[in-house]
Amino acid sequence: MIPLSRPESCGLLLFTIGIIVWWLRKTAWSLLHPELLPPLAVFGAAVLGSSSGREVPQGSLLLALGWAVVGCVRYWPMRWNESASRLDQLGMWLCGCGLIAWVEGATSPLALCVPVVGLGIIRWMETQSVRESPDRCGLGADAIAILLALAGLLLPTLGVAGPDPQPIWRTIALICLLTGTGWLTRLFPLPRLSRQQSTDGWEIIGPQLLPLILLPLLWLQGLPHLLVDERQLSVLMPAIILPLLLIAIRVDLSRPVGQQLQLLAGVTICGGLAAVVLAGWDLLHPELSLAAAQPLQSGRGLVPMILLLDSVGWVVLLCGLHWRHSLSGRLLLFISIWTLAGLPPTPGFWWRLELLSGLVIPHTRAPHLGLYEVAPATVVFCGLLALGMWGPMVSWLRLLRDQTEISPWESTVPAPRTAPQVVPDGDPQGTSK
Amino acid sequence: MPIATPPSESIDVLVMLALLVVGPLIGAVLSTCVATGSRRWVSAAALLLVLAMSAGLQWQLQLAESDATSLHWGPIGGVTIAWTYSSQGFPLLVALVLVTWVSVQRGLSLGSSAWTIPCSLGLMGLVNLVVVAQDVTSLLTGWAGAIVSCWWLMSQRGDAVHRRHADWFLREQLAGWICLLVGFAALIGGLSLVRSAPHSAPSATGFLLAADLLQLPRVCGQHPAALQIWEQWRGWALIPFLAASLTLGGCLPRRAWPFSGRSPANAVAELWWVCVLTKLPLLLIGQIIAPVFIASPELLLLWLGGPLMLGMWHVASSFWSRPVSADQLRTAPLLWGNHVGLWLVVHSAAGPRLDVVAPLLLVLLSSLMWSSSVGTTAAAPSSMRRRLGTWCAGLMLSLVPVLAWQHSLYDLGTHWMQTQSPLDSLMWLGFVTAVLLFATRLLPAITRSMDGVLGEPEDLQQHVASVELEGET
Repeated sequence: MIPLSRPESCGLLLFTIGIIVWWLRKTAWSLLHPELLPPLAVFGAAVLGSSSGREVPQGSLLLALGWAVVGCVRYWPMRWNESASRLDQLGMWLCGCGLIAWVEGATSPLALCVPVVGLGIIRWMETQSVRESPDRCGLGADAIAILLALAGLLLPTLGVAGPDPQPIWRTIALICLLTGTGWLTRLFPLPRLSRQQSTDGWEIIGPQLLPLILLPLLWLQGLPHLLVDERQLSVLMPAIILPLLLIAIRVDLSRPVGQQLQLLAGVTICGGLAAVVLAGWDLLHPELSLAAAQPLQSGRGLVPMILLLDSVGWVVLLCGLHWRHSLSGRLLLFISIWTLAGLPPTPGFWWRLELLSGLVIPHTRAPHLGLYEVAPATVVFCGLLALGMWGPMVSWLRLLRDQTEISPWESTVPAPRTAPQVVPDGDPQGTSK
Repeated sequence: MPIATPPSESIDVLVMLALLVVGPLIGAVLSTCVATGSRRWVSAAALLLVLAMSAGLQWQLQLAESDATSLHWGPIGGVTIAWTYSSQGFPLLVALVLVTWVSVQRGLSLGSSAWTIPCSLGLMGLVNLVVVAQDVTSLLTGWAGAIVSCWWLMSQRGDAVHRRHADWFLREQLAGWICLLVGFAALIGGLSLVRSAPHSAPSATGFLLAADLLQLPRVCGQHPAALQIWEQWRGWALIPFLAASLTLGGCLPRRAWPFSGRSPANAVAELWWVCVLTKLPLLLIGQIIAPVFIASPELLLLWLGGPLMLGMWHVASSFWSRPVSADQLRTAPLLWGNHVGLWLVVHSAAGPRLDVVAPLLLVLLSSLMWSSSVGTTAAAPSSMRRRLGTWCAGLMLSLVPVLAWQHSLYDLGTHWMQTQSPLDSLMWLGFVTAVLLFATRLLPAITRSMDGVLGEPEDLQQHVASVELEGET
């Protein structure tokens, strides 16, 4: 049994309420008043979280509760005619929050299996939401991904590779975990778009953004069980660089804004994953921890900082998109895009500077290459990371310019002013052209 | 190597500094009210003005109680803001006011977008911020803000071709900017390592330029292990700065100029880019890169001077081998000026700060004159004033190296960087040959352009058609 004074209980409560809300979309929901459930869940989770009497060292609980509150505010009050699709979204949203809260307290490999299975459930819920073309192949791949991720978590503990598994077995387990969770979050090996057509920026939060936020937290908690050698850290690099560069390339092409936002969500997560590398270094060499290198943050502090700061940026962005025709909306849009693009003096710039500065230190100190010896591969890694951050930066700024003039769900390539075209709102593909 | 400390300045100068940085930004916000025509903007701008005035008064009271030469805020959330003013930078600030005035005048005369005035004022304030910044945040904020302001100004034309050009400009400039960010990150991380030697744990570091990053030569001298670490790291740290300097300085070989022909809408943005933004890397090299890497002149000469020398040869040879077209005459001297300016700053890094400001001012003013006279010659009938401006600018661009060399040699003593190797002679030989090659080709080309022998720049419609065709293929 999970004691009530642990963050897992908050996560379990949120996840369960999310499942109930999602399930109620097809039932006689008017009798149960499902709109009351999410606020009650958030209230309950907040009470449980505060009753634990512990601080929030990683910020995951704060992140989960914050997103849950935003979800309640967003979907309250629901209306009869749109409640079914909204309950879909809200259910996945609360489930994502629950998993994030769960990860806060999950330290054992067995406990970390729960978010993996939860991710699979969210993917299944997403498949059910898209009624037009149920993807059986996708479900099969998701099942394989769950098995891979579970194998990655449990392989070192089940004694399959012996009582004290060699580093090679742990590396294999790490690769399994990376592949499985990367597929479930639609980030690795290729960043993929949700099959659900977004007509509203908030719709990408539940199925796309919250599972992505879960990914670095899951890595962060799973790393102590798998990491024995700093060579394993180099395994993480392709899992960060490849999606980041692909996002930078794909987002630069002309796409509807909904798809652009889905892709751009991966940039923050790749930054978080890069900070996990720093956390891995601190785990292996606590005597050389970055915590001493003020004002640089250690990896374990940087991961939740990145996720929290950019989460706030996302909320402000979606509010700005909603009210983009007013002065306050444009101001919100400007601030959020400035920070999500990573331009100073906003918080988005600071985590990028701290991350890149921090990455210099462990890579220069790689003991298997000799102390203070610079490995060219790691210099290339930092360069590619910066390159991957540069591409989305341009796309964010183009989004800022175009959103002040055209409909947000239209393609970002504006029509020439000599021949203006009026496109109705709510047309996700711009098919009316 | 001792680090030069800024001279003491009076409080009046610091207040003037605040006016130079904050004043134009407030002016930009106020003129945005006109551009957007929104009452709420007017209210917001008025509120901002009141707040700025109150903060300025409070600031002045605080300054009156102290004898500070720099302005420091913070740390606010781990961030410390520091601005330092030096009287040697005053001519540069005056030149920026001049550029702002010219850009506003040009924008008004050409009937450009309503964003011309706010963007020009914003650019002035942000570039002033780059000039006085003594911390990484202010420096990168000013630089990024200037890039985005210039891009915003270019984007206001509205049609697809101009937007494509503006996006290309933004992509290129932000690529240089992120190289700058990586360079600073490398320095900050490297400094933590260097300071930790011979101990093992990474030590504290910071984001202030003068107090932290520029102390690297002094820290290296404290322990051999620190010097050993820095020797292994300094080359890697220089690479992003090299890429940033060449990209932001417009020195990388480019397929086409980022501005389309003689578009009046881009005239103001082009002026800022050509005259100011591409000159900021001179400050970067003179104030940050050179002091950090001063102990390894061969590294600076090979990694920064080498590519610049190749760039000068590239410009001079392309100018020599083919008949000079009007577009080439318009753009090549500006590119040449950027190369020469950067090269001079790299070589005079060992000298006082005036050696940085003098070539910077020369290149900035000659670029301003050249773009004002040659850049618009075809759009307006050639007058005596334009002819005079063209000749003056051409002579300045040709003689910038000679003037700077004379200035350095006679007024301040010889500060040219020496590696005591054949590299010195090789560099000088290449430099002198490139200058001769360029000058002997530029001056006759100016004569021919005055006589109308050169072909006119392509018409804007033709240019747009060619770009569209290029996009389709």
